[in-house]
Amino acid sequence: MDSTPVALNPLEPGQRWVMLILNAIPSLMLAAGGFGLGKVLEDNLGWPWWPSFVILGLIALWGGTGAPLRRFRAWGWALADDELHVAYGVWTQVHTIVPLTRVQHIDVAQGPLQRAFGVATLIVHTAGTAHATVSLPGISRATAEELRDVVRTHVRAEPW
Amino acid sequence: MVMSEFARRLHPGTIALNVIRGAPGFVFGIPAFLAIARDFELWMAALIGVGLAAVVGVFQFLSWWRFTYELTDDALVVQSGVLSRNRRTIPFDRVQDVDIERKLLARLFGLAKVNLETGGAGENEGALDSVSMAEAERLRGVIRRRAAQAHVGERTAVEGEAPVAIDLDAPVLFSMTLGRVLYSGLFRFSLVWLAVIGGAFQYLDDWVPWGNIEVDDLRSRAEAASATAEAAFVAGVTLSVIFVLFLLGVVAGVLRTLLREYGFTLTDEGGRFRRVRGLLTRTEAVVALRRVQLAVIENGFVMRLLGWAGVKLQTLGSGEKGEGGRQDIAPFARPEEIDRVLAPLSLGRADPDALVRVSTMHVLRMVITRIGWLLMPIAALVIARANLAEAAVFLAVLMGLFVFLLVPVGIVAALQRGHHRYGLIGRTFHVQRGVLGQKRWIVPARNIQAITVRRTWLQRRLGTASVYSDTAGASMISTPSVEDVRPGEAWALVDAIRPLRRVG
Repeated sequence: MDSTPVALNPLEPGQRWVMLILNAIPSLMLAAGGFGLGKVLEDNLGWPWWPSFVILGLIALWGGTGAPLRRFRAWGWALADDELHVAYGVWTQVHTIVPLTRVQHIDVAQGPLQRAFGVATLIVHTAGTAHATVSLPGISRATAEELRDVVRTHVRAEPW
Repeated sequence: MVMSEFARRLHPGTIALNVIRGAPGFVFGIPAFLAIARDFELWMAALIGVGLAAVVGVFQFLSWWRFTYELTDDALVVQSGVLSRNRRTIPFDRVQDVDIERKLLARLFGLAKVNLETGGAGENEGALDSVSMAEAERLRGVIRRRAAQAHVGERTAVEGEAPVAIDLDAPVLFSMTLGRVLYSGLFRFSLVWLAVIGGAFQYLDDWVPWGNIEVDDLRSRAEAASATAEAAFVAGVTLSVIFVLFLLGVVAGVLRTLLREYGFTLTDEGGRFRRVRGLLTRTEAVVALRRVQLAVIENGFVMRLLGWAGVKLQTLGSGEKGEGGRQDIAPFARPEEIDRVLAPLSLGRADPDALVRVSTMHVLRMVITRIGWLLMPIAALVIARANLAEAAVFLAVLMGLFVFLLVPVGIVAALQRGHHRYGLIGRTFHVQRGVLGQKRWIVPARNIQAITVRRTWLQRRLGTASVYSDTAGASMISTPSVEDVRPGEAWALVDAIRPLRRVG
């Protein structure tokens, strides 16, 4: 994004696999659906089976490989002074800045897939409403806990 | 992270409690189960039932087993999740209060739920459900004590918040006479009331026969006359019904305002406002000024023409039940009265000319998105008609509609852009939006929580960005957002706000 105030760190490479695997399942289902649709069209209308398979298969291929990789590259985060920056989004690009002194509490979450690839999600809660929960997936467990400890030192007695 | 030896689990009774809580969901499953079970022998059905119960029990046991909480020196750490682990840290200095909730079922088991109130938006962010009554009391004691220690710096302020006896000598900041209350009621006409009245009529219709008889009687007379007369009659009836409903809406608005705002008095008790109002139910609310997040000045078109506006304060959500969030402090006031009410908060109205308009591209984006939404169903029709000649006709109609819609939509969008202004004056962030009904937000920059810069695909093509500022206790639908400014300006605004949040 233009004139982003700080340089952002990319996510851990392991998160790329997490995102690829999570996207693989719906993509395979879509490709299978394309094949099934082709068969139905062939049996009922006498159309060739392959066009719908090829079209939906290509969409599935993009959805299972290119799209998650682009989404992975769009993620970025930085801890600058006393603020946490989190940026994401391919079509709609979002850059959120959370002042650490505003943090209410912090979660570190790790799903089974994330655990297998050694990454974790940091979830920061503020007292706000619309962007009250800012989550940052795909950082290493050590980084997440390090970030959590930094955030904790900034959480002050006077939150508002 | 290694679990400390002090980590505790919830009371084992929680397992039974949760199984029973989940039971109503299973009751709905019984008919479906019976339908399937008809093909089975009774013992098989029973076995399946027992098996299901065992699965639920095992799952509840696992989630109980994997849920631990731990009191550290400065935080409550809660770990949960059977498959994915979630570790939540709630610092004591964020804890506003600890309450113990005992519902009937929990009481039967001798259990209690401990809620930590932190001022965040989520409700169950710090809930221990359930622990024994003794443990609940111990937790409340320990957390309250440690929270008080953590709050030491603001201790006096917290104690000052407790509602005390009404200070009769406190200066009255704003009050409304009976005449003003009735007058303001004229502007509280709302369609919601029409709907309520309409609903009431529909309800009455079943009980009171006069409504239909009268109309039927009149209609039979009208039918005797010519067809044109009938058309005129229908139009006349429709108009008079609309007129009567309109009058009822006005009367209902005045009555409602009278009930709500009668004797409105706002006093400044030094550090807090006290508001008393209401005709039948007198309500009293105390607003601690240090809990105020922002002020909003609202008015409709006619109200603004006549020089009136209402002021609300947004406070932290954890206030009185139903009162938290937004507080009216001057529902119908003159500008100078608004200034007087906002003065103790060190907030002031912004001169609209001192604020900046958003980019002209805002007009273009709104036109594109709105016409896009309007034309989408028609475009779908075009695609549905596979016939090429027909599609061409539809396409032509589509283009015609586009041009036809362009003018009104464009005018509305241009007006909205003209009224959408923002600016950072000193340490206060101002946002103004709305052409007919207008809102003006006055936000001390230090109260802004997360701040977000957002660019959609279309915004990147048009070279604009939006800035969303989040505040504590904000409503989801109306927040002080700045739509469509140049990215450089968006980041300049964000960079100007960022340092202001650090200063206490």
